[in-house]
Amino acid sequence: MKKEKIKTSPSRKIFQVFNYLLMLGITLICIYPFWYIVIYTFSEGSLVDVNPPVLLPRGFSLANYKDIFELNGFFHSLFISVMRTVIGTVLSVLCCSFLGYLFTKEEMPCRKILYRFLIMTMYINGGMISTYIVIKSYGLLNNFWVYILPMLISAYNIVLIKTYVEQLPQSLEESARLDGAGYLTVFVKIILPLSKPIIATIAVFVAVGHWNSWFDNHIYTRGDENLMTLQYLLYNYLNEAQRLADQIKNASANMAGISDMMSSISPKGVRMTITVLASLPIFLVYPFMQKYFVKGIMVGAVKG
Amino acid sequence: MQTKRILAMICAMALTAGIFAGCGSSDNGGGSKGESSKSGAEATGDTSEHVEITLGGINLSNSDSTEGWPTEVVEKLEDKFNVTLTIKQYDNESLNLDLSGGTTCDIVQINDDHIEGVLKGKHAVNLEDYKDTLAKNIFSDDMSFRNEVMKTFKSNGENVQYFVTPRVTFGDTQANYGTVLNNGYVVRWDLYKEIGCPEINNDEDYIAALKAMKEIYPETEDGLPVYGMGVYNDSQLHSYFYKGCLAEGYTNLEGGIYVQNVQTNELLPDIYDVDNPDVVTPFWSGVKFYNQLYREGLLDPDCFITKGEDLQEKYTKGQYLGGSVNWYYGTYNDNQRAADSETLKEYVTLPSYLGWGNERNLAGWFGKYFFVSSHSPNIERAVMILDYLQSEEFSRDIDSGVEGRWEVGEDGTPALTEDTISMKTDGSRLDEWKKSGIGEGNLSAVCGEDYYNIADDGGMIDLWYEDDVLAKSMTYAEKDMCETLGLTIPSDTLKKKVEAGTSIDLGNCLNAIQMGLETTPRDIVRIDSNCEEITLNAIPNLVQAETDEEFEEAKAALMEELKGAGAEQSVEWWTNAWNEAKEAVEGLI
Amino acid sequence: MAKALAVKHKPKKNYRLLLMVFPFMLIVLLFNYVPIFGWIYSVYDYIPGVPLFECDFLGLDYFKLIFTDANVLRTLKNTAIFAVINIVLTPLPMLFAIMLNEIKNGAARKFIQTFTTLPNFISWVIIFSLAFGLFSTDGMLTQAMVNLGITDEAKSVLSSKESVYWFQTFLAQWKTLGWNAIIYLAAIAGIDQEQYEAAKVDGAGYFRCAIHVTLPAMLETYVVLFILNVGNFLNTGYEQYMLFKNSVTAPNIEVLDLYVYRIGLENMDYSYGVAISIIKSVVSIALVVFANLVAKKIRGNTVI
Repeated sequence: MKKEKIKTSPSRKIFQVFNYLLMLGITLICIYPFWYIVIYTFSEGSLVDVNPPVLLPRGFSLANYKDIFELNGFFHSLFISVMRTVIGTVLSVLCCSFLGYLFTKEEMPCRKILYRFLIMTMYINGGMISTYIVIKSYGLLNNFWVYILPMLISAYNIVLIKTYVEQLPQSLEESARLDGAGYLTVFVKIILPLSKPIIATIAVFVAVGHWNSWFDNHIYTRGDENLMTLQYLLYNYLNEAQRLADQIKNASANMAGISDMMSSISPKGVRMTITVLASLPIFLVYPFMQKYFVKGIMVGAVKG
Repeated sequence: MQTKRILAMICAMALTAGIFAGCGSSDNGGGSKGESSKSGAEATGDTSEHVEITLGGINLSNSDSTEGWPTEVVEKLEDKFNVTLTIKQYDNESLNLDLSGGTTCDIVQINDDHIEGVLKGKHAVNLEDYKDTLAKNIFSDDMSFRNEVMKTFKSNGENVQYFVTPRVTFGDTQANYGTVLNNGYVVRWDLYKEIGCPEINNDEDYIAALKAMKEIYPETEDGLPVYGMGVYNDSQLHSYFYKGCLAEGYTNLEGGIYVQNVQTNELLPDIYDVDNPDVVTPFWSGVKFYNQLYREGLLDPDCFITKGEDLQEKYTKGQYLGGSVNWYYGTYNDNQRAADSETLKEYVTLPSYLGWGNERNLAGWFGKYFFVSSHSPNIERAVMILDYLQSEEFSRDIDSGVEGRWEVGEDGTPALTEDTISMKTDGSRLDEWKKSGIGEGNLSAVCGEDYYNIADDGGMIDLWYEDDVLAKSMTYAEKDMCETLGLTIPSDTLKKKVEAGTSIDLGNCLNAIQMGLETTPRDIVRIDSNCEEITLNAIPNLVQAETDEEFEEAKAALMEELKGAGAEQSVEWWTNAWNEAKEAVEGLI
Repeated sequence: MAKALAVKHKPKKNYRLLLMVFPFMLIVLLFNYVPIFGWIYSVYDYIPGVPLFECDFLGLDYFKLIFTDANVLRTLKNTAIFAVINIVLTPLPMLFAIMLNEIKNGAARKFIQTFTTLPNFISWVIIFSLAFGLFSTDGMLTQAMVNLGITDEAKSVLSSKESVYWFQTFLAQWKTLGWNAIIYLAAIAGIDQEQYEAAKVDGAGYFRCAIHVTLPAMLETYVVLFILNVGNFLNTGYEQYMLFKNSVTAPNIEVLDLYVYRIGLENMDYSYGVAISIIKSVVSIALVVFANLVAKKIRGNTVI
């Protein structure tokens, strides 16, 4: 290991100490609020109302989670969410990376125009109503594929991949092309293995996007309970809590006794529990993806 | 070369766009063709086939997430009509989409914003086709005023009935004020008692009482600072004008830019008051009140940033002494009772000049309109369900439970069973309570009749309002309050004042006038919305004015700005529209 | 790319590539371009539910309104300020990634990398409620400042008009820093290890490696994202500003997107909302084209 040879100078040491302290500070202000949310959800509702937790939960209660696990259709919606996340991520990553690779090919006719045609989608949208009518005319209302298809091609992700692939050494691909390999073969055999870091990145972006989206469920598949995603189930649950709270606001005098209902629900607790659930995939997927980030790629390894 | 290509691309796009625009619009119109072929007079009421009926509405919540669904009340309905009933939540966005795509639920509940779209887009079934067959409850004599209002004002001039409203108060209904009051002068009972229960007749009395309470309770048991009152900032100007409405005897139109005098039913511009220099309007009454609190050091310094949720937390921590509404202190009361069932530490509400009770919704609740969708594959069944939702039977069910939860006694009048009453307060029977569907939030804003209407059997629709039941539901602190003040139930504070003529209730307020208003034109909506924003931004200068001069200066500046934003144009439109609507609605009674 | 151009002349066009791109572009066309027909709503007084051609035709009235609407001008000022601040701060995630890369302890680096992404999952509603706990007049931090004598009077930063710009920027950076750094971490991982080896052989220390190898490798990604960001000049989003808006902060916090939100949701002015979004699209695309031209002038080749 040659790199051990580099001498550690005093200024380097000072920098290291400074760097560690800085990172520690940033990490702390990122972790604590989240930790606070976690302990809040595990605290007993009646205690945190009066006195918020600081370092550990006040009391201990799983009520927030139990309520959610006991929701009608929890496991089915979890299944749908996992399905859309897995299918959506795999397809989208494949499509985006292949398309990103194709766009690096200068021999493509109208390349610039097509690429700009794609980029433009980041800045234009027709509005919700026309999009709805279009989705309806494609027969995608109350259809599982409405989760996958509109999110399949993401201009942003394609830009990232194209930029990355353009920086790879050209020589590898050229030699493969000379050997008669087609675009698809080169993509699978050479580009994909060399692009693991960016593909892992995009996979994280897309997976988190799929896992946390509820709006498409809300507008396109509200008619079919079997297609309900976890996030939408939680959204409805939060709404219910919110509605009960709001109802008290809008109520006229004849809603006597309604304050009794108030105590049993806390939109805040629900919201925090949802936050914890929403961030779960990052804990599950991210560390796994990170092995592609840790070390730089070794072009030589692919060559050989 | 390149520019040419781009041009060609744009043309192609425009072409596709045109084609789809065509498709979209033909879709919109297409929905209404189905039902006209079959006249309502031939309606059979056949229920042999099991169908699914969806009811979608703004502010309703999905039945999937309602605990205890289907409740006993719903099961009864489903058996009766051989349907499965599902409730869907709409917000403005999703309702707009469903209307544009012609994909609405079978029965839909909308607010005033969507009336025009529903009527012009022909999304609603004409209920009068079923007048003598499937919709007898809707067209019962008691509902005739409501029906006239709907026909006259919510039919785009066709003079037929598309909509129904919930909770219609019948002409001969006598209201009571419930057990406790919900809006007025809130006080902590223990502290109020300790300062000797001084009588509170106006804002000055109230501020004096708050001051006295703060002196004996400067900080909470946990050492947190105590304030007189706070403000909820997530309902635009509501905190300010609503407080003033109670003090001055008005109700507000949405947004609070205009208010209605509850005794004369006249409309008054609430904020832009230059034409009525002699009248103190609710908004200015409220702002003055908060300014007074500020100067006395009783106002929460965070009053411009607290949202409802933050306010509730501060109440729960016991940091406030008073308030004007009961929305936020429920948790505090519950916690105190849980810690000590004989606690006096509980917030109670005393009446202000306007006691928010005896509301007479002769045309039903404002801002909730139900119709049967012309896109429904089961129009007949949907009409039958909507008609049943309007019925006395269903209204009684939803408020008091299905028969058996209440019984007709030996004296011939219905009453809740002891078991039902104990179930409500018994925490261990919570699941059973939810399953019973009594008072279930969704449907209680759907059923046709008011709580106080007298049913054919002689009992109220809502049997919880019968006198003997009211007295049973009091907490220890409330009982103590009654003992101390010589009352039967806490809301008698209002009853006594109304009888003495020092307070008023909503008995004379004709809120159906709002339904007679024509649709607000876009430019007026824009002006009002801007005026609301301008006023919101002016609040800090008003509330934090140290002297009367400063206050007047800030007010003058605001008036100038409102004038610039077109307030006068808005006042003119509203005054005319209101006077027309008032005359027309009063003519229907 | 520049290298490739030097080696050979214009490559021969390969029309098979067009065939390969076609299915993907079709999806883009179907889901991103067809809904653009909704722009037609901007010339009508569209009422959702009413067939379009029964609505009043207004021509360009709404577009004229944009230029006379005092709210647009007022909110544009704030939008511009936030946008400029954000553009100035775009290098932060890249710097963070470089600094993080200097943490040589693998476990620590993974830990920091995972946990700094967490704020991204906390919704603005919760951030507001956490901020209220910390920064309200009774809040922990405000009180701590008073106790430590940093400020002599407890005044909440949440109700301070002057602090709006830096405070909101701080919150936004806190929320997105770790998440946005992911892409740069991927870029670092994409660097051919041989380049480092070569630099070390030349006697470069850690610092020079960072300047001469790491930074240039990330610059391409940075420039691309920068140009895409310039296009988002007017797209600040509304959620954060809506939650932190109150009657004190309003004059400095109201941005165009928040106003558009009000138009759509409170005023139900769908057509006006579409008109503004069309103008926004035009501005975005113009800005991207401009930035791209500038990049061409400076670097010799276009990015997009």
